[in-house]
Amino acid sequence: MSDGDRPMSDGDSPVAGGDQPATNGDQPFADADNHAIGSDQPANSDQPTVSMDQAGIDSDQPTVSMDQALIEGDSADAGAGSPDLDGDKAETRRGRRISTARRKPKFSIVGLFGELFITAGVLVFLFLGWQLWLNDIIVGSSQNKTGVTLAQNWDAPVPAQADRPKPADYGDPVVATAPANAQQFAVMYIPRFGADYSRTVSEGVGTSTVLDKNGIGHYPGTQMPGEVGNFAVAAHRTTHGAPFNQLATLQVGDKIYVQTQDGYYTYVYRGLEYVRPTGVGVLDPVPETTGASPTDRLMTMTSCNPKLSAAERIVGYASLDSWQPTAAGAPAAILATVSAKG
Amino acid sequence: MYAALWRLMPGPVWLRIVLMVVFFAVILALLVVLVFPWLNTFVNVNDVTVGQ
Repeated sequence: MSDGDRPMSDGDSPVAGGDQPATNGDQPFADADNHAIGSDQPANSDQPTVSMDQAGIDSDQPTVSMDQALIEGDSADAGAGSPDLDGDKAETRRGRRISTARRKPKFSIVGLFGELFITAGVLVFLFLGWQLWLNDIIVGSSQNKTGVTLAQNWDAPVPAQADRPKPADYGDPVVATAPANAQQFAVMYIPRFGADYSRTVSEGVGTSTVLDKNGIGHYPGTQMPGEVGNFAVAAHRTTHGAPFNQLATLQVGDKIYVQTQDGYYTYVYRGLEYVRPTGVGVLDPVPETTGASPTDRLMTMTSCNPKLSAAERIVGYASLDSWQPTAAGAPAAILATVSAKG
Repeated sequence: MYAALWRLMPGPVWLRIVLMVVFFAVILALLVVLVFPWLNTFVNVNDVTVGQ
């Protein structure tokens, strides 16, 4: 008990005597109150650990630390020769209970719902981030790779420069027959959309069969690349790789290259139009002119407008500028993209 | 909920932190690989074709 005796004076001097000697001396109740407060915010620097250490006081642990001794001294001092002793101890116990509650909060239904709502909010933002950004990057790069792989399958040895056919020999563009639904039959290169832009064109415009997976879809029944009439395609402007994300950034005169097994079709961008979702006139061989007989070789690209909405359609037009067979090699502008194939 | 999860984790604080990071990384991976693509099939705000 010599340990307990020694700190008694210590506990007396900083709390009761050192800080407010006159007040404490005159008012014993205030003194007791002060100790109660003191157990929470005491004057000496050891206090923050008090509530933790108090557990040791009641259980009478033999190894009494400096802090515990101090508190013991405090309460003993406050209750010395007075009936307040029990009240003071109760005060101390309540203090401990509060601090215990602070460490281990009881299960709260409000808290649970709060965390659930916060979690739901975070999940919504995660989904949006995935849908509008991350998935576009993943799917877009995968579509670019698919385009490169498809073009690789068509690889034929390109003759040396001298042996290649001259432009005069190219003749009219070769027109393939439309393939089976969802089959990828062409690769589209649009340098304006990025040097590595190489997306496949598949037959059909089914959402789950073509547009969500393969990228660009060819309207069945419209003309094929290089054919007189209208080669009409559709693709997502946002999400699922968004092949036509930057459709509105095309500038008049921009080149759009379509590669098939037969060769390269170079289209030149002509302009934009915005139509209602029912505006099927843009798919006509002569756009918006039903029944007219076509003389031009056009390409029509449709996507949604505004972005993330299905309210309207954005329609881009291009016309065929030139054609060259596979044996003539790729046009110079996309040579790097085409020959960058893994 | 998360406090209970924290208490469920064994070991010292650094191990708990590592376990929590792993736990949430697994959850995130499951979301991205399985849940989000499935959920996306119900979100169709992107009609891109013209038709009657």
